[in-house]
Amino acid sequence: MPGRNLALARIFLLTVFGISLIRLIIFIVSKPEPYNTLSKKQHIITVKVFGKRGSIYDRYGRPIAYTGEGLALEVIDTLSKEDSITLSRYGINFNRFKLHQNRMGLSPFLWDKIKIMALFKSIQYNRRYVPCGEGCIRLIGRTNGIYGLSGVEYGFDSILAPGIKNVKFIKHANGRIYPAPTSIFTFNAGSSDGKDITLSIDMVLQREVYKLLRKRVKELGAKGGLVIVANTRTGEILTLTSVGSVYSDKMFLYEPGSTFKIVVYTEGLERGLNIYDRCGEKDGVFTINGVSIRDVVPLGDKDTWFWAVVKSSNACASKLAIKLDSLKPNGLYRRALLYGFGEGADIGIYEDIPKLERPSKWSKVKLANVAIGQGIQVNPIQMLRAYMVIANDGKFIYPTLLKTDTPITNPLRVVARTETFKILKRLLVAVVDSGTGRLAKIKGLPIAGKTGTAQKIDPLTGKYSRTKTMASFIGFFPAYSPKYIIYVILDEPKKYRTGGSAAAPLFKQVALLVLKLYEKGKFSSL
Amino acid sequence: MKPRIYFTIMAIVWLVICGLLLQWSVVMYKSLVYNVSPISFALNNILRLFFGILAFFAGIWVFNRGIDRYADIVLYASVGLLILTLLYGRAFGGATRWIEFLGFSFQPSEFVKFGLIVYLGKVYSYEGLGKVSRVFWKSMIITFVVALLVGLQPNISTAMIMSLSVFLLLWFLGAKIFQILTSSGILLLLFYIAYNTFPHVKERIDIYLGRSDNPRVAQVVQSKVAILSGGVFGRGPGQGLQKLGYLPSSDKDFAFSYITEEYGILGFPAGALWIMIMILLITWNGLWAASKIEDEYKRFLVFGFSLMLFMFSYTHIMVNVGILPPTGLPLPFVSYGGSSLVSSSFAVGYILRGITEGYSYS
Repeated sequence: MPGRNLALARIFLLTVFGISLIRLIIFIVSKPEPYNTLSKKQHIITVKVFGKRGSIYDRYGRPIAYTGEGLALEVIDTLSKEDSITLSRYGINFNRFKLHQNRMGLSPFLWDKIKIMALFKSIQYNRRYVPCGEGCIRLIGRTNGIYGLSGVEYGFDSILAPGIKNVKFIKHANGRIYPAPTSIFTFNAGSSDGKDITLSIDMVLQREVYKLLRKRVKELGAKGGLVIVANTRTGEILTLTSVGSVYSDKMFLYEPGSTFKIVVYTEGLERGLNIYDRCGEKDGVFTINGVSIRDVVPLGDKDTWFWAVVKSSNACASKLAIKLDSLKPNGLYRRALLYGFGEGADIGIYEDIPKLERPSKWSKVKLANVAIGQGIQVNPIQMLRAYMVIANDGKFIYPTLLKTDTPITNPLRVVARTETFKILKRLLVAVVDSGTGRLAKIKGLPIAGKTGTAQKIDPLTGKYSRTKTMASFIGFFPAYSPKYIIYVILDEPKKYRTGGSAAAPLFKQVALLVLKLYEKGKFSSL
Repeated sequence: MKPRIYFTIMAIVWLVICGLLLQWSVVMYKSLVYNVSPISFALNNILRLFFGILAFFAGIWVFNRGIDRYADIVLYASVGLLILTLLYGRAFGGATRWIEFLGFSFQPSEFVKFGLIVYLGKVYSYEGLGKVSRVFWKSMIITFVVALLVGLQPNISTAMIMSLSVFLLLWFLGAKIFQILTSSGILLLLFYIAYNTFPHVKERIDIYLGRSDNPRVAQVVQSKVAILSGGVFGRGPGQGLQKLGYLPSSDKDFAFSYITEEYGILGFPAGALWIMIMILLITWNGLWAASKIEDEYKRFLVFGFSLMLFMFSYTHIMVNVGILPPTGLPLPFVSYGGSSLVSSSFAVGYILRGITEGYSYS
């Protein structure tokens, strides 16, 4: 072989070698796009890892709601047919996750089996258990496993919600994580868990009250009902439970009826009303601007202000409101504001806050109606708060859902003179002793209470219905050193329609239950 | 001292080790994804290696015994195998390239490229009596016929590189300028026809020229991403990420890119530069041996085998680096595939024996 040809061949070899090498070096040194970005980013998948949601405990440290060990994995969008077949071998139906936005629940045991298939975008604990049961569900509310959607879960979400940690994994081209992490739980440990809260709720009481309420609602054929039990000294709500149309995961609005009359009588007492004076409405019909305000049962001879309260006379209350307005315009409105109507309940549950209308818009008819708790909207916690003011002789305590020893008060707020509350309390005791609230009476225990029967607006006619009522009873005991306050509302009871006949018996049952649980042996007559 | 022998042996062993490292990396991943024990993959590789070693010694043995008497049979067998492939072959990925035999499947085109050299050597030494120009056209026509059979599979890239290798071989062995120019003109024409006839050739050229939105573009892109990720020293043994479905056939057609991702250019032992040098080393020594050996048939074979090995290896590398359009050519010794390993082992066995022979002449 001639040397010239050998040289030619060698030049060829070196040329090819050189071209390849130079190209390689230029390529690596210059780092052209998009290759550079791809080489850095395409293999990385960021998986959102959520910590555990905080638990909710009752006042005695019993868990009301907590998150279990079950996992939810958000599956990648492009799950192949083979993958779904493999998953179905493990008893996981992919079509079902699709309905749940590609989330699947997975027990730790199953995870161990399935670790090759790492197809998820996010990891979270998903099982929320509410051991307290039916009676608590509405109050506690629901979650999506991470965030609260309603009730306490929603209201205290800033405390309960877990932290998110973005964990970077290596990703297969089809979106899977590679290699599959041997245990998700180790990753979860890194992300911060939500904090726990301790509610003022007593789980046992809540559960038992719920049973009583459910039974009563059924008995009366009502649409729904609500019971609140609270400690008047600390403002702690011990029970907040509801059935049917009345929801306690969101504070609803309603026309309170006669329970609202405390406002007009407080105003009256502040303006020097003597409860033994006659109100002068024997027939129980008070007419103002052509509109009649009627009593259910006319007072007859007992037409003093005392009996007007005890027998819950609408005519007298309206008359008093008109009279007071001429003495001091807007007095009723200001008193309502002082009691905290028109002000949020602020217990951490989502609520509609009713704004009190400006009094310049109140006509005389409106005024007469407001006095008896019609044409005005409140929410249950506002009403509870107002009665707690009476129970505490004017001390303004905010109700709370969180366990506390020191009540949240507002010492600067003076709703009325202490004298006035002493008189009001006596009136309320008389209501239970010999007035509309007789059915709530417990032998040997002084109870101060007030019935309320609000007519509901019939959605068909747009007028007040004669048959549809919101029957309520609110009361506290022992009347002269109150400790507990109970508020009962029944929506459209059919068998009995008034607060005295429908709600007061339930109040009594709940009160007996509270005494049994907390005050065993303290009242000798029981 | 016979350093060329030791260097060549080192280069061969080096490449085989690179191949094993690549297989190890890919197998560990595959076994996890497909839930198969890595042992079956390991056994597969051991079997390949076993056949490779057999073929290596067969190459040495063939050098000693001489194969020129059976050159005709080799050609007929090659052509027969190719026709069999076209008739009964197993189709895979749109091409019929495999034959099943006794439970093994192999790729005749891998053997045919060296079979062709074996026959052309006979033409060169017996008919041409050591003068290429006398048998240039006959050799080119035979090459064309064989290449056509390979191209019909269709395996255009093997056919083209095979033809090109023979063309270069004849050129370096002393073909006339006129013959070179004419035949290169014809080759270009054939290439043009192939481009217009076979849709996937056109497609791949288009991909290379950036005129296509074919998903194979991703392959080219990912091959470059692999090399870029590797950088100078690589991600580390077994740490390559492109095997996770980004770079399809990362253990076959894009073995070079993938191994560059793990070992970079200079990483030890499977860095891109080392692989390129090892292939060059084998070819360089083969060339040296060819220049020393006086037996014309053996010289032709040593030269032809060396050049064929070089051309196929560097086509693979240039495809991976992005100089050439994508083809399905494996990197000898490194890529997965028994046929390629066995035929390449045979060739290097022959070349190595040729180098020892070269020392005896000098």
